[in-house]
Amino acid sequence: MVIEALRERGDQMELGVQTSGLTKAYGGTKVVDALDLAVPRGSVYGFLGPNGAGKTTTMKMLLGLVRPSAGSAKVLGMSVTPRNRVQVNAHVGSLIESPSRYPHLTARENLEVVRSLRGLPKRSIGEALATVRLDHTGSKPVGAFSLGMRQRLGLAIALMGNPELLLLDEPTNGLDPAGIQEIRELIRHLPVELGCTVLVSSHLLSEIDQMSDHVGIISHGKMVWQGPLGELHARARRWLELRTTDNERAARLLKASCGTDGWVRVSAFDDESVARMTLSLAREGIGIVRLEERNKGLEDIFLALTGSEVSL
Amino acid sequence: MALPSVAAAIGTFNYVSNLEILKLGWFDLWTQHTLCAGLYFLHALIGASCSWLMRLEHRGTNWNLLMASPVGTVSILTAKLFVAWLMLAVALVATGALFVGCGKLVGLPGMPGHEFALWLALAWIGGLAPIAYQLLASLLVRNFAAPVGVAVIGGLVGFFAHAYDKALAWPYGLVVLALNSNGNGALGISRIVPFLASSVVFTAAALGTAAFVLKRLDVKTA
Repeated sequence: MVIEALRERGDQMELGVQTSGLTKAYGGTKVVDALDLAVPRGSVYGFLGPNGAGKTTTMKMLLGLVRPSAGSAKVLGMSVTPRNRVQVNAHVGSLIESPSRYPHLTARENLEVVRSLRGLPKRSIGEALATVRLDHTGSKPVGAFSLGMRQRLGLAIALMGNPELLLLDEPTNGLDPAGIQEIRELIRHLPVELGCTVLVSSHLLSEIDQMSDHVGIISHGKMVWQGPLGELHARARRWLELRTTDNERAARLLKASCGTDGWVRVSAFDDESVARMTLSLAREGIGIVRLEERNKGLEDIFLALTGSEVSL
Repeated sequence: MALPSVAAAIGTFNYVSNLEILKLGWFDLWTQHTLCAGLYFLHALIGASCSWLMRLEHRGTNWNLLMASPVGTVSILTAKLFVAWLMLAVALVATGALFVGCGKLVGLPGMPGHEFALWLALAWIGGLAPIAYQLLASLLVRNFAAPVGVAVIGGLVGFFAHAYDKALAWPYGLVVLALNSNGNGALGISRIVPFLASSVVFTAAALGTAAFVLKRLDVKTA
């Protein structure tokens, strides 16, 4: 229902990426199954799903690296086909799987390769290196880079030429905590500073929560939820559960529900309500045996949607 | 540089060891030098160059970078073809320089005629076709050594194709034909056009197939 609602909303807002029934099957196995992706222009869209959910394959199909078995994709209003791969990719920067690199070349030389491929001015190399703080690496070959430095180089390659759309596949892999924070900040501000749309994938809920304003959750190749992050947060809720010496009377008194598991569920959880509730039960001679606060957070929602272990 | 040097060393040794039957001076030294080069070394060099050029992209996720760039598949392959062609030029210049150097070293009089330079230039043109096929082989087979083996076998078949006057029908026969390494006779004016046509057709066929494969198949990363 949420997906349908977003699709309807998508008709009204401009989309940077839109797929319709996008499917990729290897043999008889569908790794991406009828995916309807709707990425609003100028947003940071978090593409969230467990490992092997189909995130990378979807992004590869958007770049024309993998041919869909069925369905279609539009990137920046252009249909993605083998014929117009070149035109579409002129506006897209990407970091897919692990960073691409020529290990015998320096960071600057690697970016020179990208610059010539994309037909960019010389200054774009220095700008990209400065953005990811690799401008001090000098003559060090990329083969001698740490995992984090290689990841930064991959980001620099993706950012070169300020593309209209960025596809970033797990961009914080291998970075130290400070680097992760820095890259998150960078990604979060890209739409504001460069006016681009960002589609960033991760299997880490907390990461998507901190970076994106829209989210799509994929599981076993299918989109299970998609919409603004605020709507996902709105689904998170807290409540109280209590056990008393007389659950049925307590439930009637508090106008709460009494579950068969021996707990009475109360939606109120603020301090004042809890104080009033315990006093009224005491006045009626009902003893409180247990009183616990329960919550359904983003992790639980993610878990319920994907049916898999959540990564935190 | 190493492979042309080995070919030159073997060729010079053969020449010096058989002076009683090799009486044609520079021409006989040329056949001895280019026999090994045309038979094994130049094609092995072409195979290794193309394997290396493709291995650069087969490593890691480099195909993602190339194919996600706003550059067509034909342009990517043509660039590879051009670089491999330049590498062959270096090898052929080395072959010529070693030929002259070894000739002077064994005491041949004067300097070789300009026809040897022409044969090297024609071998460079004829080398385009095996380069294109080797790029195709290295695109399809990610292993480094296997395509080099294909190149060596191709060169051997080319040598025999030339012996049976069928070199124009086999892409790996064009270098052998151009070099005149078995002394059967240099490419005359009448055969230059078929030679060029064969080189262009074979190159276009291999390059077209490679472009089709790149365009139509999913990009695979290591």
